[in-house]
Amino acid sequence: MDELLEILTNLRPDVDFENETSLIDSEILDSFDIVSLITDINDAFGVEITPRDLKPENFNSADAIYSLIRRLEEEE
Amino acid sequence: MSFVSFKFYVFIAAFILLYYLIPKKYRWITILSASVFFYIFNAGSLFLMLLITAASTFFAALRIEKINGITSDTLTKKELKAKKTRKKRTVVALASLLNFGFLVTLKYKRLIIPGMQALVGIFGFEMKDFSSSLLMPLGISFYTFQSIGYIVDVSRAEVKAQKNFLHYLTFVSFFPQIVQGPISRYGDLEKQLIDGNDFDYRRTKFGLQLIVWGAFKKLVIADRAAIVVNTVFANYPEYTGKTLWLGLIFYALQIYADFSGGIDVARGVAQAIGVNLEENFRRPYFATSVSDFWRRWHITLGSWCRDYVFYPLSLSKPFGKLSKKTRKIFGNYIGKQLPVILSQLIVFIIIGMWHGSEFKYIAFGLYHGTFIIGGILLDGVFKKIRDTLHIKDTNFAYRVFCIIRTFFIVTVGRVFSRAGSFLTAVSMLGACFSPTPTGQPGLYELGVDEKGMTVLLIATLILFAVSVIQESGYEVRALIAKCPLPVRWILYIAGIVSILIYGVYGKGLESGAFIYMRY
Repeated sequence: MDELLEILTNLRPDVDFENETSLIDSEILDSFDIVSLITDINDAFGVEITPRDLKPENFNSADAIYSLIRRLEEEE
Repeated sequence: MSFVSFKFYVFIAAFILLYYLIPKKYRWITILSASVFFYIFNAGSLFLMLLITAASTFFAALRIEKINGITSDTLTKKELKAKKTRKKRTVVALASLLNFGFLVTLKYKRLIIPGMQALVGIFGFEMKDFSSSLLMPLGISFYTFQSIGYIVDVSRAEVKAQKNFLHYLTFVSFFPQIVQGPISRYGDLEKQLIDGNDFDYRRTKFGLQLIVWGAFKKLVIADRAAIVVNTVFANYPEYTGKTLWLGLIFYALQIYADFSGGIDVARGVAQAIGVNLEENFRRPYFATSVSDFWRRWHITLGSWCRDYVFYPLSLSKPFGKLSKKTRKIFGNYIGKQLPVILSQLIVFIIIGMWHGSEFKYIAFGLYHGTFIIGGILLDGVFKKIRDTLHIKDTNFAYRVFCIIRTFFIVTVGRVFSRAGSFLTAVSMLGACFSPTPTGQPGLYELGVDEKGMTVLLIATLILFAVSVIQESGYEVRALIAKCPLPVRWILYIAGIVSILIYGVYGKGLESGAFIYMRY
């Protein structure tokens, strides 16, 4: 989780990722941020996030993103 | 049957009435029958083309669903997933090839047929030019995008494949959205169209109000502004400077009122029967950057391109490899941004091509793409400039500056889509920035007299006021509903009467065609 928070904070230092729960619904992260974020996550965690995983509920909070990573790690 | 014709209003009155008179279980049949009637009334036998698209994507989705259900005792989870992905990709590719093939052939027939003639000519054969017999089915761009979106959603397991073809056809042919969008997603509409909706007085009333508001924008604003635009663009060699700018600003007003007015009518009709169509506009001229503009203008085309083109491309393996290679050469920042930049460029070329076959449309797409990519690359520089000048991006004056800057960029870019050709657009742009000589026509000499201009100004101020209220987070129709009864009825009657008196009508009270109908 700490590694993910570091990636998120590097991407957007202006956002409080520990408490924010509507990153997509409130349009805090745009599509460019999402692509950068996924590239970093794929590199750091060795998973493959694909367009089918790009649902708002998977990216609205740091917790949701972490759950997605864990799910994909289990599938590997 | 235009969305702003008397015939259409008789048709939708009968449709809404019939919808609620029929038992809830069968209400979807009213929608399907009305849609088939509307389509055949407007496009005749071209309905067959829509049927082919509906049938091919319906069966493709069923096939994909079957693949989703494949299990294996011998393969690992990862291997099975890869196998399913490969199989699903083949089905999606075949269905896309067929349906985008129709779309591209019909849109690009002026390029494709001479090309085919030249090709068979090499082998000594002759081929007749049959391009005039290839007619564009009504709304082909819209229903093709919706249908392809549906099969991709099924392959991503976001929605279940529909087993009843007539239910699916109700979605593909839904008449309010067939003419000029919005481009809807199957998952959003399935239940709303098929399950049948109860009558809700407030919802139906809001729907009817939206139809009136859309007709007001189209007939009072767009079709009046169009007179000035047509005069300026038809006689552009005679004009320079100020007159051409007037033409461009009036075009910005016309195209927004025309397109968003048409969408309001579509959303209003759907809302009257309890179907909520996606918003396609969110005050685009209040955008503070070009990317913000595309999040507010033709939203459903933008989100379609984002979900089905931009993400798949930017997250694809080849783009990922390219990114890693370029990181080594140009550094981390450029390397990471490269997939985003390339995908964005491709999206804007597609958006340009979506509008038509001429090069001017590609130039239009590239123009917007360039500003968006420039925005990404120069983001750090802009931030430094703001910090040096101690300007906060929440500052009101700065936001107004950004809004005016974006409006200017977007308005200039429209020359490419509106001018007769790319070269005409370039020559008009050159003339725009030349000084205005004496003897250029005044504002009232471009086809709309002083009285007409006053009507246009007042109507535009109403549109602006409504936009400011909406941008502040209020819903205008909910505010009207809170007014006392006499005030409400004065507003309703004033709205309808102003359309009847101040709307621009041609022969036989027919209005001008909607701009986006031809896309």
